[in-house]
Amino acid sequence: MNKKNKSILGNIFYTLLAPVVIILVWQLASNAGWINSTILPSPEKIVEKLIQLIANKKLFINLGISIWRVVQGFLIGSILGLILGTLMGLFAKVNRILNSLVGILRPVPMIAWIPLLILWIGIGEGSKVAVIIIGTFWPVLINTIQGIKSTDVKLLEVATILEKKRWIVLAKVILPSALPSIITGLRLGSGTAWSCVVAAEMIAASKGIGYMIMYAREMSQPATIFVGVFSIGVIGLLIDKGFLKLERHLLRWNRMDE
Amino acid sequence: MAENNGLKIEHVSKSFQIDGEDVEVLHDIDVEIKDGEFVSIVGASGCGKSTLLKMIVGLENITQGRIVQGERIVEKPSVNVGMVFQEARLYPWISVEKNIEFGITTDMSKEEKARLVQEQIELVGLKGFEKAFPRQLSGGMQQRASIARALIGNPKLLLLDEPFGALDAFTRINMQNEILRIWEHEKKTMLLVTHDIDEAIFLSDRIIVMSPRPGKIKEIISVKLGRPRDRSNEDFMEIRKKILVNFLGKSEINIEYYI
Repeated sequence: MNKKNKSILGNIFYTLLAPVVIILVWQLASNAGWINSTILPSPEKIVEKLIQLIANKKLFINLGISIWRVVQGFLIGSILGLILGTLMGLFAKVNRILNSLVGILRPVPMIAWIPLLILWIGIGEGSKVAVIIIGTFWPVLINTIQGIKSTDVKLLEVATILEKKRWIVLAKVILPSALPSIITGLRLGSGTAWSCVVAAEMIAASKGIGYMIMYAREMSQPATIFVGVFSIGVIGLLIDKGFLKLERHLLRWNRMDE
Repeated sequence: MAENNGLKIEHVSKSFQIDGEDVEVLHDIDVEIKDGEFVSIVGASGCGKSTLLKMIVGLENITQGRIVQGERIVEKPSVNVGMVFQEARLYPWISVEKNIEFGITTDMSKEEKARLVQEQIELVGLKGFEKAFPRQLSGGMQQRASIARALIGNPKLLLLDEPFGALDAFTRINMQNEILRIWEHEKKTMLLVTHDIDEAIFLSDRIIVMSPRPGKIKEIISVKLGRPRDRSNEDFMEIRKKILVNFLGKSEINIEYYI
């Protein structure tokens, strides 16, 4: 066995160690009757429920709806954040005008917007997507401004000496130099977007993974709640990993090895 | 009549506002550099030599006097003047060849661009590293790419702001030979700012010695030695001594001691 395979196996071992131990203890405690199964169902029950929810497609339908909302909200929110962030980063005047507004609005938790959004847009898809837009917008905005402002003056001077047009400087110097920061913003934004959709669906929805969890609570089906909670975690992890991969690919110039 | 690509610096002064007060960093600089000439500026740090280059390239305003490059009064950057800095200042997110291509300032076809880039890559000796990212190159190779980027737009005047200051001694001597070769090959007017006296003597037709606070021209020394120059030659030593006298103000300097 070569060294690389060995280290991959080692990685898998350490990654899975903690979850496997917890699940084992949990299962043994359930078997021994130490845990009340109407409060905390055994792992076995949860897996049964998972298989059932996969078989009747309920899990995928609800997850699919939630993901679609996130995709819409994330795209709109990050485009808005990118555009406004670029403007605020490039022009000190725009930054001065909007800075106080950003300062007041940004700390407001996403959940606080939900009642207002429902009042304005109604209880349909619009209000859920709107919550995600807001959730994605802030991290993308802040990181874009940060990235644009930190462009190295020395690199800008080179473009000035070469008499490059403003839009070329933006496209070839400022934006690439802001890219690491922008990608961080997008990654954080995707995380917020995913938690926003669950929160929004728990408050007002008739579909989606958040709704599935709330409905299961009303029906006292803790196993379904667990399936829902774990799927949220797994999807969140996959989104994050996806962005890390994208980051590695787009910022390969930033790495020494290769 | 041939195009004039010399540089006239006419009674140029420069002041900066520091804490609401005008501080003069350059005082009455007046010198003419002929077309195709290689001139160096040496001086202690703080003598405003880099500021002077920034004014020539059009990055800094001139407080008093004027600079004429060819037939043009300098007010802003122009493709006629290229510049190489102490740091290579390459864009880390694009390959060496893309960085060099960025120096092209006129519209032309893709094939034409590729041909020019290839030409420059060969001129500065970076063949085989076209696709590399700047981070994968050594300091000397990065500086070669930076020189290629400055040359590809075919500037009439090339300004070099301590371009080899950050390189180790061996790479520096290597690069000095390279720049000499490029100068002889391209026949451009070159103005080099350096704090390395040997470098100035090795390369220049004339050396401008500056004194600091405010920066003034102390002396202009002509180097009438054939190229390539031998750094241990007696005439070379004599010129070095002349420059050192300017700095240290003593007529008796033990050259061996300096080495």
